[in-house]
Amino acid sequence: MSGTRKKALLKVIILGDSGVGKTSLMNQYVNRRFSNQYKATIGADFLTRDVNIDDRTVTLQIWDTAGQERFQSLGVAFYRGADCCVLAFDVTNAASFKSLDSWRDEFLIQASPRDPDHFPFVLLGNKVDLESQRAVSSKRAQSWCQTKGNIPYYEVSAKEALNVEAAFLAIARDALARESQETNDFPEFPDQIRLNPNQQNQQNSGCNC
Amino acid sequence: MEVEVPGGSEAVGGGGTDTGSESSFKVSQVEIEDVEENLKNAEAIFEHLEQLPFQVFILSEFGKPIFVNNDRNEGEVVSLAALICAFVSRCQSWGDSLMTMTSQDNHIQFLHKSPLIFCVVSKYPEQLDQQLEVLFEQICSILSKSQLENVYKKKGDNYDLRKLLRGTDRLIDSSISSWRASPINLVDSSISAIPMNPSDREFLSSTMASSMGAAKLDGALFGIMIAKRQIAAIVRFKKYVIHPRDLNILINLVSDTTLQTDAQNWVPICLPRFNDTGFFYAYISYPWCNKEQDVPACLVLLSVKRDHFDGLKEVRHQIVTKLENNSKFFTNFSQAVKTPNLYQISQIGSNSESLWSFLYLNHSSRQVCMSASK
Repeated sequence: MSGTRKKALLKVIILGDSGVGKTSLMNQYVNRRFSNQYKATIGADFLTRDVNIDDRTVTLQIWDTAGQERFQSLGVAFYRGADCCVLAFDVTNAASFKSLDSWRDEFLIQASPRDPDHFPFVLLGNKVDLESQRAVSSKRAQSWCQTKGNIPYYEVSAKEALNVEAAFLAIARDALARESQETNDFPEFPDQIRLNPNQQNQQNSGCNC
Repeated sequence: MEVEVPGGSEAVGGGGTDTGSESSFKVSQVEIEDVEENLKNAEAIFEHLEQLPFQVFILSEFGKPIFVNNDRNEGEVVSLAALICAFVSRCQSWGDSLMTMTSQDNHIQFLHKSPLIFCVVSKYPEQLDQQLEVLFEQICSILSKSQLENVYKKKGDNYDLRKLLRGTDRLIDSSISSWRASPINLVDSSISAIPMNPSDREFLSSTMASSMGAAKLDGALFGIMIAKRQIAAIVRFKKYVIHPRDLNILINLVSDTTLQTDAQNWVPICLPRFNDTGFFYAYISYPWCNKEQDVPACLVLLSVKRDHFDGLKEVRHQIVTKLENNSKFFTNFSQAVKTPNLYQISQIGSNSESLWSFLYLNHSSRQVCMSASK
């Protein structure tokens, strides 16, 4: 048996109101690019990036969803199987901050993770480059995080590439730590076949041409 | 004990044919300039995939890649796995299931067998559904269908199934190559039989049958002699039948070169057409694969009982001794499995100039033999 250890893979999904900059954050992180032009994501968008954590390479499979409800169509397959959920809001838009509760609840209902109280979330407050228009203080965001089981909070700017790298690194580190807690990766003891001669002996051949 | 006599051989050449996928990488993003670089990456991936004869994907139904047939690409296809998942789950949300997509000369076939999704991108549309079924059964042979269905429930939806399948990529790869190389076995769920003298085969089969019968091991059901991915003989208890698809899984397993030593192997294996929840125990040995001899034959004895190792070891000893003691048989047999001859057109008594090749499929035994071409 080959002992080669594959790169760990983490499914990361980004949720938040329309226009908070989810796609921009992802593009900044994956492609190191920013555009002022806004285009709604239709459905979903998928990007990949490798990060090095300690001595391991981890592939982040980032699922960017449409914030606009009318485009939300992927259903549970989008949420389920996620290793980490990134909640994003716009620090200049108080409404996007208020929505965080419902995004988090939506995720927990749809994904139904095994340990919902300790599922790894990360909160990103985007657009901190627009300090003069700030509507949500850092303190307010942090206290929300505390009430949700100490979710890590990062203030970021997709435009100025501020903190984006650090935030995603923390995300990967956290999810990887959880992933490696699972140690038993051996198959179960194989089930035995119970022979029932009456059920056998049906030659089911496929083609009758 | 019943004896099945195989009757022929084939070795279809050819192989790799198809091409990579050319479908849209982005699901439906409308933006242009801000993802230019990403699109370039995507294009590079597609250009690379285009070079490949075909591409197979296995992923969890929540989009995590589990296997791609070109290992080097695994990193590159992570986003594609998510996209395949999105296609499949979108159709599922309509109460429908996605089967195929066609784009110019690319045929994309999907198979959703919860908790897995299988997908193949191919230039030719023939039998893609069957190819994916074979892959599903190949995975089941390692984990069993019931374990597969439970693993995500027990370990969480985000479980990385590659951990449980570690080391078996080779088997999945060789399964894919074998159905690419001899589609006849796939298409008609058939087994190729290695050409041998009928009397030699008769001796082989009856020796195997009598040794297994005499051991009176309740639960030891099948004995199979395999060489060059073909069967030389198969014996079975009357009430039980082994499906050609299951037999091909076994053939694929014993053709793995890491097993081919003079050691004896005791391998739990699920044969899903026989029983997709439980495991057989396969006693696998290559009796003449050692320093002195190089006869590439493999003897497989299958039991449902975990504690039959010693009993089957004795059966193997009996069979090998009896076969070796018949020196005329053993010389012929060694020759037949070392350098198998294809069937000749003259063997079916036709001298017609226009007959170039024949292929015979026995419907009841699912055994197939094929002549050399003229």
